[in-house]
Amino acid sequence: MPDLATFQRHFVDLIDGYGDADPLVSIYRNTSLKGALDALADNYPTVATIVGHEVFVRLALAFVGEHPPGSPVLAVYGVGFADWLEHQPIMGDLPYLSGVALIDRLRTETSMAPDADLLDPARLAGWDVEKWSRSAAPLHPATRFGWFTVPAPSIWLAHLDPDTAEIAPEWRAEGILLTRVDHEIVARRIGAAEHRILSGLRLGETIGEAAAATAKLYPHIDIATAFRTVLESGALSSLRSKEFQ
Amino acid sequence: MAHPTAGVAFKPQYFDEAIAASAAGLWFEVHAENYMVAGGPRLAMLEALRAVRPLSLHGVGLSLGGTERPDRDHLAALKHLVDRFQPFLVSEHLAWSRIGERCLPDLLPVPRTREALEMVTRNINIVQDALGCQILIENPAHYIALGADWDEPDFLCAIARQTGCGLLIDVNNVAVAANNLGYDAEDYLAALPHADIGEIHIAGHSMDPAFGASLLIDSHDVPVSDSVWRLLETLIDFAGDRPVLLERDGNVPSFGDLMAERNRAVAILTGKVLVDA
Repeated sequence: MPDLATFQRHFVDLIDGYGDADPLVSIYRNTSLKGALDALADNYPTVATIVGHEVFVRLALAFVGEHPPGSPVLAVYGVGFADWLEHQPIMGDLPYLSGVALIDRLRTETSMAPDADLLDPARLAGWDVEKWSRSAAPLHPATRFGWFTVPAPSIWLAHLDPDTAEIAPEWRAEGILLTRVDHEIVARRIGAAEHRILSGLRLGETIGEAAAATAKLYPHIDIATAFRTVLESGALSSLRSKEFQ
Repeated sequence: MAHPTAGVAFKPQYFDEAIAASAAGLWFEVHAENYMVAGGPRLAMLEALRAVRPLSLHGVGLSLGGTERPDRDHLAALKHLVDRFQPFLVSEHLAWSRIGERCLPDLLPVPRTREALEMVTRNINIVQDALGCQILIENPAHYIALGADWDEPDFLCAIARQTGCGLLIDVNNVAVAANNLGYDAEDYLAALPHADIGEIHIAGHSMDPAFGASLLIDSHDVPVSDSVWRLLETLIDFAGDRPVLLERDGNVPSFGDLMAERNRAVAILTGKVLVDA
């Protein structure tokens, strides 16, 4: 029996298919592979649904081969799968697939993010416009959002309904916002104005700064309505007037 | 809470029935790695479960049988769970899964050599010191005969003596390994250090599709076999009353069906004859 480190390196080589392995090594090979494949399928359920089992397994085998798990916490396995998909031939047929994968990922992050209080819009009654404008509004730790040049959000949202038979989204750029309210994950499509507001708030802009920048970019959009959507979505954890900072 | 008798491996889909269950002595075990997240519904669910039932944390990723020391971040995450949920049992496997930056999602076999004993005991000591509590070490299923300076019961006994850890004896793993490597499962159970046993696992196994009955797989996807029930009775005769955990990971049955299987373990623990309803 070689020393333990040599034995373990050799055993992993055998699992990976290098060298003359005892046929029984295949039990460990199969279990290791199944663990990674199942985790990827669990973490990218919409991708798995769209491409079907056979194609997903083919994609997953290639991804796992290039990016094997680096942590025993498989609930978070598959970081980078969306970027990896971007370079696969399947994107030629399904150009929204990497976007869908990214939204699956955002959903996992929303689900597992730290707990924190949500901003209660009712608490803001009586704030005047100036106080609003000078306030910062940090995002809740579970808030995730993204912007896509293809209708990946519509396609992803449609797959939340298991009875969906056919999807015919309007082919345009759109965004998605995921929030966690009372441990329930809420996903909604958002427009360019909401996306710009959220991006500004994430960077630490005050509401006034975010509103001004959004209005300049999208002068035809009702900024107040866009702010209300963000405020009532559960995306914010607090509202801090500069007077209290 | 009642003294824990027989428990079941918790699955999120069981949550409502698990919370409402009235069975005396029922407890739950979860894989610690599934709850190593910052927040959200998983932890909230576990919090609610822990409020009404004893909880056990069963780790699968510390790689205690590896040459490397336990990963600091992983150990810190486990300690966070232990501190928050105060489990009545914490357990891990006599196995390895980490090599460098890579983690294989499996429980890989440890050769029972002097060097391996040193590594395993070092790693268990690190974990117990970090957690501030005793852990239980589970015997593995075996598919390949490796070099060994000890029989497994003696190896487990040496680990327990040198670290103060307890043992989790998976009688399904004993049945699988005894079949695959050709030794007597009852002799194995007789040779264990019974006083060190803190928990017993039971589960189902399957025949390998290629090798048939000569190769059993620790599959956890079918009910417990009669041979494993008999081994459970034998081990209870040797060791006395211990918390018994029914594992099921594939072809997951209804909570009611799982509880009916679990009640058979309760009957063995209490010496009662179970009559089908």
